[in-house]
Amino acid sequence: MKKLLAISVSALALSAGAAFAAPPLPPADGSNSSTVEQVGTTNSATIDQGRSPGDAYLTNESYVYQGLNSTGANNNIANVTQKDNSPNNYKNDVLNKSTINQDGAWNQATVKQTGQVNDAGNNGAQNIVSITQVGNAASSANPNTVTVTQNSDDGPVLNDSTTTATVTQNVGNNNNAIVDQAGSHDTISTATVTQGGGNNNNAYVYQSRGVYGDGVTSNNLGLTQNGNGNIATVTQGGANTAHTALQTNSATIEQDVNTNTATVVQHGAGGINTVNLYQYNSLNTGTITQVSSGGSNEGDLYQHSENNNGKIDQATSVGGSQYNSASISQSLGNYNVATVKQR
Amino acid sequence: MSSKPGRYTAGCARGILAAAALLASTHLASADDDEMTSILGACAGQYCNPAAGSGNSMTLTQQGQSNSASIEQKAILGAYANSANLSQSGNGNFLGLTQTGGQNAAGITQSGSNNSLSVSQPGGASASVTQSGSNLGLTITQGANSSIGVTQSGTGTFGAAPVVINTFTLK
Repeated sequence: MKKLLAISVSALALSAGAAFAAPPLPPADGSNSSTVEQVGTTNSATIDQGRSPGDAYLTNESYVYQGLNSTGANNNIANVTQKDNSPNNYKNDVLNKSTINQDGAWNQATVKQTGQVNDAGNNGAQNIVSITQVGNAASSANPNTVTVTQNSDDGPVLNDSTTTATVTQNVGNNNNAIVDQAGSHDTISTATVTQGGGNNNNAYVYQSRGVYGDGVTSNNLGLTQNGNGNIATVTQGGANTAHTALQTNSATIEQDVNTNTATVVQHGAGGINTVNLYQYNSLNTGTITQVSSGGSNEGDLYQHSENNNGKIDQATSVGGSQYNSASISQSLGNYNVATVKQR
Repeated sequence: MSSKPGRYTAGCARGILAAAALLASTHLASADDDEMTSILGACAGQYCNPAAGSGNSMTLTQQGQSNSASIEQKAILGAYANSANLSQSGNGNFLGLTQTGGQNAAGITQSGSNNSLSVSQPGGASASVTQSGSNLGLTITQGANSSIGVTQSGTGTFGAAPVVINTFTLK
């Protein structure tokens, strides 16, 4: 059954005789599936997948491959939107899955996934994104851009969801990775971001707490940046105003070489906030801020070599078994500054 | 492709605008003092009333020269015990520690020359300080019911007391 599926492809520079991918398998009932492969440069693909009225369940799957075997300035654009756009009383999960691979530089990949729309059912969404941008090692200006927005659901109805985003930008400079994972309810969000071999890359990760959540909300992040002048900005959890939902956050960040900046803010409740921040070499700045309502904070910061600045600020609410634990290790270097504040 | 540069510029601009728009949204990575204060002073949910207390703990290791560290541990209400384990090795290092509340403990080691240390523990506390090197400086202020152990190996700063300890009773 063909569902709402719109693919617009402009291939302005397809190589003559290039082999196209085999057509996707016919989708099962209630499922959307698309595969796009574009060979060459300056291609764009827009994919929009959603639910049609009457679908008992929904699976959206999308695969985009652009710039095969090309390491130059490919200038490809991929836009994928996957959603449950039918706010009826369906009681089945939604699975959104998107994979994008782009070769070369100057590429853009944008994915937006939305789960249940105020659905009266008690099931949630599963959003999965995997994006790989190879980059161009020979280019000094090599920006690839990834933007991922995953909303597990949208409304005050209980829907437990899982959200996973994996972003890999292998080589090159000036790459941008933006991951925004939000949920209205109890959501387990996981993000893995790797910017593997260039300078002046920017990674921004926001993992929210469910506004209506009354159970466990868990945010997990692994972020690696290898190069100089990289910036990592991470926020996990929302402002804790209710103090009734269990919120745990976990972030592990590694930055190698010099002049990197990492800023991590965690808002938790009842559970444990955990940050492990590793900055190797010199002139790095690491800031960890952890706030918990009735929960505990654990912050570990390791800075290697010289002229590093490390700061940990932790606060937890009144009385109980909760604790703040901070560790700063600045080894084998001079002119380092450490600041710890616990309350 | 004669249109490449324009396409690049437009694509880059779109990416930058998207990043800027998202960064300018409400998802800023910050937690200001007001939020800290509200968290500390107004907690009403089920996770605000657990049983036993534990407190703050931290460790610091600095190796090298001209390093500095500033540490402040405020007592969590109902969980008074703070502990700090601090180590600096090298020359020209500075370390400042403030612990509030009671039942505080600090273990501090500085090795090298021209190092200085300032410790303030206005509540009941115990501290152990070991300094080795030359031109050492140490100032400790403690409240009542406190204990301090200091071991210095080396010479002090010319014209100044290498160790100043002030113990007072809280009123």
